[in-house]
Amino acid sequence: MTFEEFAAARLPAVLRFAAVLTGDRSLAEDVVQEVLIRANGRWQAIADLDRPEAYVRKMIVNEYLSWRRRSWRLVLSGAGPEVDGRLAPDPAAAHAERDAILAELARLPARQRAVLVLRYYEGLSDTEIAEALGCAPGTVRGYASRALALLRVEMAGPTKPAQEMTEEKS
Amino acid sequence: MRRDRDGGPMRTEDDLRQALVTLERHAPDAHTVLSVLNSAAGQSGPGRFSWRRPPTRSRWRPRFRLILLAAAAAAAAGLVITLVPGSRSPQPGRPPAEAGLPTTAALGRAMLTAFNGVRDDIEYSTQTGITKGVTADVYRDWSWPAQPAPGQLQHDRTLFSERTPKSLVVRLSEDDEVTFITPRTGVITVRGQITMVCYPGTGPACGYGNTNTPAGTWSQASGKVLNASDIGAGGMLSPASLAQGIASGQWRITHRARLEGQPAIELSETSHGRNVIEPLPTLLWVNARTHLPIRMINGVGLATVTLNEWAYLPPTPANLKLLRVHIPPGYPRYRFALNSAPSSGGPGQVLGP
Repeated sequence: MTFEEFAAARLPAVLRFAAVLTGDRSLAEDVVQEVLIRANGRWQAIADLDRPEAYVRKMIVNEYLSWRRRSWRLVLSGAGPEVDGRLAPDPAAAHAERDAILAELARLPARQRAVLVLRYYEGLSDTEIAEALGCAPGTVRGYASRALALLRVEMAGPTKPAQEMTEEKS
Repeated sequence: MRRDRDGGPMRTEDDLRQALVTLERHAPDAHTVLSVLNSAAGQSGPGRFSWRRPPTRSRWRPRFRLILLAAAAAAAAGLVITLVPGSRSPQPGRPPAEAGLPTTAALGRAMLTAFNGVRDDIEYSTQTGITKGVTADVYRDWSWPAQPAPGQLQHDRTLFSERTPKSLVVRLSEDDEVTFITPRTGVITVRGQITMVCYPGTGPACGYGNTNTPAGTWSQASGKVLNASDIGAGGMLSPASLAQGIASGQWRITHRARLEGQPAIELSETSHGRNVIEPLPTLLWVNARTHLPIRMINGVGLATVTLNEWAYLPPTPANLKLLRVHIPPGYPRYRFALNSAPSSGGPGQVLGP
């Protein structure tokens, strides 16, 4: 698969992943741009891997975790919630709880947030997450445990295998 | 429904999964990203990369930072050495802390006391991103007062400089001034006013979404301001948060040092605490006499390093001028089109200077 083919086929899914990971459209865009520019430069080596997309997603996680902050964001009066959903929570009562979770997610340290996204959105096992983040599975469980406690999420049981969690979104 | 110790409802893992999926709505437009890739590849006209959807208007400034391994690497490496005297990576097996050092709890308390002493000063902080020895971007922030109370008017100014493929040296890119009433703890969005000057040379525009300000113009608008969670008063990188982290075991005191002539206490981050800055190894230096932070390095020994530094300035008339943006002579004012589509950035109007 060439880089062009990869970009044409997988970019939307990669962008969705970045959006969930960062919770912010502009940051997701910046992170993906930077990663793809780098990936394009050494695509031959990445394409030879068993799972090029998994590698690109790992690059995105690492880029997000090392991303330097931007200071201020301004949403003009009259702008809609699409600019930044955190600024304009859905008024429907049924969504209030979901918005509360998202607000609390946004306040988590980046590494804890990344662990939750990889576990509950990507459906990775703790071992796979540890490999992606370059740490021990125990460390992953520690981050997850702290983050879940902060979000008041009760675990149903052991981490489920990847395919049980999430099918690839394309 | 089960409840936590405070009586609040416990959420399920499925609640979390469903919430995460809703964030997909923030996914950027694929065509916009591909346009930037094409631009980075140095091509014009029909792109090398393509996407099935018809193109839409580009919204965001392509703020990519290519890794450039230029001849300046050696000079920049020298900069790092200068800025980090005697820096060492925090390695396992490091000798135990020196005798006579304060406990983290005592140091944290001393820092909080010190912050109270400078609460009405101007906090000047810089953040420098260095990639493989090359300075990639620099933020210079002035915040006044350094510790604003809820209801107090807060002034912030940020000068942003960056290095891009179009500017092989770090160039001033953006100058922002923000004023707002400090909200109560936990509120991260407030109404405020932002004045933005966008300099040419590093990209086509500054700002975000519907506040994009074209290069070579300035703008001023009022609206909702989102204070990023990692900066500013109460942010995880604020000195007050650092002090709280030190007191709570997020940092380990390692030894005494001298930093630019100042007696300092060096700390390394542990993996404990609410606002852990991991995964990158992080060192912090606190002035041993004033107990104010001097410098923090995130990514010690790695290719990507972020350098934070702090200083406190008395609010003299001369220093207060540092909070104001400078609008270069001849720059026209850019007015936003408020009724444009919110996700497009919308066409605005450039007025005369």
